Amino acid sequence: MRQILGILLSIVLHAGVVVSALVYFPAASRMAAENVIIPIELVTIAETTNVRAARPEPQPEPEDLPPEPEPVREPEPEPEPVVELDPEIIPPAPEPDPEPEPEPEPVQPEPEPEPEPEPVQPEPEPEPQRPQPQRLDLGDLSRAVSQARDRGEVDEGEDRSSAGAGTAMTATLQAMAASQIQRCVRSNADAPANMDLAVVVQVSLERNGEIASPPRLVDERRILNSTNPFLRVAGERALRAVIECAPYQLPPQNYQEWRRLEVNIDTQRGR
Amino acid sequence: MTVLSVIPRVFAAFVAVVLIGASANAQAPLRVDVTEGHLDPLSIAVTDFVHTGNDPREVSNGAEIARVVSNNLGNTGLFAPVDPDAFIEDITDIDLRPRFGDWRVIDASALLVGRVTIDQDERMVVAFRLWDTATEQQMLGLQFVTSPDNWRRIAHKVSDAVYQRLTGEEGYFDTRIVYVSEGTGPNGEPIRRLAAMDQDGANPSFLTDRSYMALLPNYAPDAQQITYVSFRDGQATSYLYDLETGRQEALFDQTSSGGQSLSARFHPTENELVVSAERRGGHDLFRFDLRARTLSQLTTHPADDVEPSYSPDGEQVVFSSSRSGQSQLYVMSADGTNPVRITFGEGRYTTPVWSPRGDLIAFTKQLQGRFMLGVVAADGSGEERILYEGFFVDTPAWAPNGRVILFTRGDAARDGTRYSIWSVDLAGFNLRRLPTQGAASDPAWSPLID
Repeated sequence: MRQILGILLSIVLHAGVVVSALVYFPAASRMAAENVIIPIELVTIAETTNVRAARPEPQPEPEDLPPEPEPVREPEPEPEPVVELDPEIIPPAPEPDPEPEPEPEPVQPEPEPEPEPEPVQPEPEPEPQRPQPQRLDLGDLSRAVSQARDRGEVDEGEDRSSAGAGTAMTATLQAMAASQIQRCVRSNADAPANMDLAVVVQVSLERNGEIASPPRLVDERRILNSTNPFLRVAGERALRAVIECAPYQLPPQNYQEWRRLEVNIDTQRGR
Repeated sequence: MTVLSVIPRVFAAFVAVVLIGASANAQAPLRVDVTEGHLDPLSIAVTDFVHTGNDPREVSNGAEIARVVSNNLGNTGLFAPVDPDAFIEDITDIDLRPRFGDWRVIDASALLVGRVTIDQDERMVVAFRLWDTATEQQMLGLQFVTSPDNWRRIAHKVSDAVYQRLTGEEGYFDTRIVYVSEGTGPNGEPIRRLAAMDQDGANPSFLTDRSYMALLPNYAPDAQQITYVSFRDGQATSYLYDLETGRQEALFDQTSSGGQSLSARFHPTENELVVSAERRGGHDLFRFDLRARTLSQLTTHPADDVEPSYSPDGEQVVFSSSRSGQSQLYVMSADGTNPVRITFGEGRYTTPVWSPRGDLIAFTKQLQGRFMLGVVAADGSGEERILYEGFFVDTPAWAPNGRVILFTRGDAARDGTRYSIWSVDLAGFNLRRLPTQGAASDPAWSPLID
């Protein structure tokens, strides 16, 4: 039994060495050295400050970014005669081909990620939702990790004077964003009180607080095609609110934290 | 479980750790909870509807339709029409996408553009588009066809469509209001005649003459008939009035009910009424079958039961009764069973009317010399909400969407009380006087006209 466990441990360790070599080959030795230091740093500072982490860890690009904005929407096709006063059938109004007038507000591309100066820190956060692969493809694994590393960026404007869990600043940012959006959201108080009209809007922001790409509703199709007109209106009001609220006044040094917002709007809860 | 079967699992777990470590630094979106919002009106730009030909009626109707729509929306208190002088873009073709930036810069959240075309067959086609200037999406695109002189109704229908699209609830603009026009005869005697007009005060007309007093009109669900109470020869009698033909008939001649009859209201779906009528010295509630012309008694309590009103599903009736001493509100099944008291506050509760939405009951209340208009949950739960308080308040009437209440308001004047009709929304805001010609009372709001 002891022999079997030894074999098992040996396999695991060897595999770890192989993966590490593939992924971090250029900086393998340096990373090993830093791995010794970093846990000490985190523990010490987090216990005493509780402000946001110093330099943010290199940020892999999130996987669930909103889809690329449509370049220019085609004008809606003529929907025409839906209601008639007279009981006669009126053909659709002839629709000359509308000339799309592209708005001179091209969506600003995301800032180019800066080259990765540091290796990805393998912080062992317990995220259990990753499915356990049944078969290992080291090539895929290497590519995945490399891509994640390449997408990381360094926020050079960050304040590096302190580090910590960051919950206090996060709460402050949430409150700042909420108070701004609240001023733009039309309450759904005109809908029946017991109706669930909660919607979630995903917003990507530029560093200057402007909208980076058209915001979108989570579960957009269900909401905007709902047979409940109050829900559809609630979704449209939410989209309008987050757009009209821009530019957002949020601290630029914390841009990485508010670069993407997920706004849960439920004005029925406050009734 | 063999060792060999464990190995891949352990290895997979290790791989997972590596992958998680690689993505552990993905910055999650900042989650923001917004549980309150404002109630400011939505700013909307309503441009003059463009014309396509040389018919001058296209130009005038286009401008008039825009004006009526703008007034309708503005009067709700939910919309703030933008001053046309501020418009930057001159809309000339509604089939082109507007320059949204030009509308956002003047704070127009919504934009309504339209077109009027009168063809050779004297048909007027009114097409319009409603845009959201923030998302730059078309929210609505419709057209109506009618005769050119029917432009005002088209304007109301456009208003209803825009209102519904932007609020989620039905509009109430293509509706009529019947009310009692108050006047004084040559000898100082009161004159009360039924009158009707569009909800915005246009197209006023009288329905009854000066020879008798008419009170308390109520609309039928099809908007073609009303009931009202006529005072002739000292006798109060419920009448049925056909608005199409002008024909009217006393409801209880055939039933020889005797006594006075008051305040009849239509069942929402069945061809019957609920009325209060006097028998043996007391008022009770009855159901009146309009086909068989028969009365069936619903309440027999020794105290007066008056002012019945059906719930929108027709299953229940709310009424006021003095069976507990002072007048309070009660709800019972439509067959007269299970009466339950729903108000317990101080004062006299009267004139209950069930909301078309079904959730609220409007009432008037008299307390310490003051009158109040309020609403209470139909099941009596929760606090009552007072929407208006004044010298005199009476006869609430709901808008067909249950969002606005009309009521009679009396103000002390040198020669007595001066009556007028006012509207207020459910939040107690947007108090407005209905533009009746002269003094008026007892409003009844029609359903949406087909």
